[in-house]
Amino acid sequence: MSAAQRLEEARGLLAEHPVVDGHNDLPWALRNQVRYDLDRRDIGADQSAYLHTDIPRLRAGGVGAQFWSVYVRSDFAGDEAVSATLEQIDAVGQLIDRYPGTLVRALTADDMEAAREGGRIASLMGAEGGHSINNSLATLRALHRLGVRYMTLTHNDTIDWADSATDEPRHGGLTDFGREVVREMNRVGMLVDLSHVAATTMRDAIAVSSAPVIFSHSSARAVCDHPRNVPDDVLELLPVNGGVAMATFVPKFILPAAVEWTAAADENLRAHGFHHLDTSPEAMELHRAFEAGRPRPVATAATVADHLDHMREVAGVDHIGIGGDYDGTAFTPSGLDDVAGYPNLIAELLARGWSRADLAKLTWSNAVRALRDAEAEARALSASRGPSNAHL
Amino acid sequence: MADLQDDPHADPSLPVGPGSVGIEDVSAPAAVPGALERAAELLAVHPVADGCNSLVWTLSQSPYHDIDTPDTGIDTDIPRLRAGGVGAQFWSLLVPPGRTREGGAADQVVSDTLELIDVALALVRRYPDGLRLGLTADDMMDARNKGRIASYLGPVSGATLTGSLGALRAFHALGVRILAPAGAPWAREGLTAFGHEVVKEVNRLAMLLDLTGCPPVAACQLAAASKAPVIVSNTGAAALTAHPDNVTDEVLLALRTAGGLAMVTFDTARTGDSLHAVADHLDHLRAVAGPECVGLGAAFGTEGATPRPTGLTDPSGYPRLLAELLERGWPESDLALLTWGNAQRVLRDAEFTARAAQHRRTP
Repeated sequence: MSAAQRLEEARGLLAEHPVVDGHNDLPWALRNQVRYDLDRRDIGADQSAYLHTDIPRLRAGGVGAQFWSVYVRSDFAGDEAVSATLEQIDAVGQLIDRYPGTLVRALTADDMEAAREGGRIASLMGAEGGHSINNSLATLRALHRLGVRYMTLTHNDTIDWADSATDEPRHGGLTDFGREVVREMNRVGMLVDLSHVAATTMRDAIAVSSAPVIFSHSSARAVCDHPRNVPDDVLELLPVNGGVAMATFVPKFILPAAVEWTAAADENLRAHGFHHLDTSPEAMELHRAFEAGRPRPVATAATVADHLDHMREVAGVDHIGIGGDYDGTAFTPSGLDDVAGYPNLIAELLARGWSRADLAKLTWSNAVRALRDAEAEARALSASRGPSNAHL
Repeated sequence: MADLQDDPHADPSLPVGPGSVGIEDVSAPAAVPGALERAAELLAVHPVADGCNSLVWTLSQSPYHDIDTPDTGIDTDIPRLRAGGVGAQFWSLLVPPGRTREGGAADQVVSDTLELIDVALALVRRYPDGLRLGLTADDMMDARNKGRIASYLGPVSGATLTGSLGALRAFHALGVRILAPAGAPWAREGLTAFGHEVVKEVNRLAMLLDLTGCPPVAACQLAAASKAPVIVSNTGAAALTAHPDNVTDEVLLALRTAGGLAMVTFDTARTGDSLHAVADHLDHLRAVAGPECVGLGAAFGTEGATPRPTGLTDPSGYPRLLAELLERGWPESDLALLTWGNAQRVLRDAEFTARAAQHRRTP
């Protein structure tokens, strides 16, 4: 099969088994760039000058379901974090209302299947970091009622009840309250997302969770030794847990050569008064100037495929997925430049001998199954247990 | 169909008359023959839609109360709401001044509000035979017809809104229908530009503004800025009892102009220590604002810390209050407006305004 044939094959496969992507930061990009002025970023048309994501490219990429991240910055705390999260949720609602022919609100696995049948992109929400609930389980339940279907336990900073992968540990994983957060997420039917958390937190959460966990955007630590990736011993827990690790495309996490370069580039951003995760046009201008003096190591679809090969081997083909982190990362791999790129990844995996059945699990059915299992567990648990009122 | 025969409009010539004023003994308001019975009959047709009850906050602090049965530790339970003829209740979600969630920081009015919404939703879910969540104006009568107390959530504090309306729309999506601007930076000394945006969005969402506790200047500005009627969910007449949270005649006239609603509280500090004193406040509000602009908002829902007027110590006292008003010569049609009709109208007007606004405005 030629490369062109493989790409054709990949597109055909995605038409039947579209991508469920675990993490896309379009809402934050819209907040950051235009304060949610959706007229100025009409994603019904090409926005490639500003964004990785718009509807034409989602269609070209074969995306059938998207977990839109309602991320808020990790240095937000208290009401500021909660309010900003509510604004992010509100913005996703406005997006869905604005493009009803393409996007459709999805709260359940059934909704995802119905969206696929109807040819629309199932739009789900995931919160990114426990700071969004301000140590309040009632706030967690409010997020669930508002449609949030996963929560990453931490973002880049360690919080009162869970250690982050990229901050000093304070608890050795989850605290007792952190375990109660996981149990309450199980009870209401919100997926526990273990991207961003310390390996100790991953192990604690999997031990206590009675529902499948996900990694909404994390790759394999054995392939690229970065704390944002999942160690093998944790990947090995997924078959019993039923969860899904969704490989991310972020070059600084997946390409060893990019790790060091990124540290220097981030430092450069901070030195110019920007937050190191800023992806505004001004910040990207600084990045390009920096690149002129120091060439950026470039990841490709093959880099992501290396991770997926390893993750399939360790976790099993029923426990892997895709979480690109588009519009949440300054740089993307060559060939996976934006949300139109997924067919290139599938073509690469076809070239490596992945079967159509395996690819269908990777793109669509594993993620849908995890949500369905979490719903079943929530029904069982809420029949025997009321809301938790635990406090820190 | 016995209800139809009890329609007060069918028989306007009931024995309510002169000579009934000046009765001192609260325990025996039935000195005009049958006044108490007539009050009960009226309430059966036009139940009380009460504008304020803080049970949700109390339960968030003392979750052990069971309101399905008479509970002496607290002034509100379903048997007494039913005995008082309450058919709809606005459940306040305000955190009392100076109080925050246990173990919490100061900066968390949003989280505290989400906690109270959670408690309120749990309350409605826990007593499905007594309470029914009210989301639209229709739900008020609908719940009533099903023998449930229509339960509207709010107000939430306007201080939760600091520069964006996302939180307001989230509260609305969670079921909240009333917002109280008092204490919010955007309504402190007059309405800021952001405050005007809040009012427009409240109107667009068919929520109500509750002006309780707003300084008169801000209250008049809010009443004028709102396209839909506003309420003051628990108040008294400042002309009778000087208290910072009581409405001045100026605000009452603004309510009269805007078709708003002043709902009288039962609180010794604000309305005096007797049922007669509360009736005096109602007389004054009706005289100044008009019978279309008066309602009831007792602000029960406490564990007995608030001194209450004699005869009105819990929601079962409403029939006695209505009997007193009958004796003072209130027409039954005015009483029907006071208890139910005005609140129903305000909710309907808010929805009507919202339907009009949604054609013109997007979030």
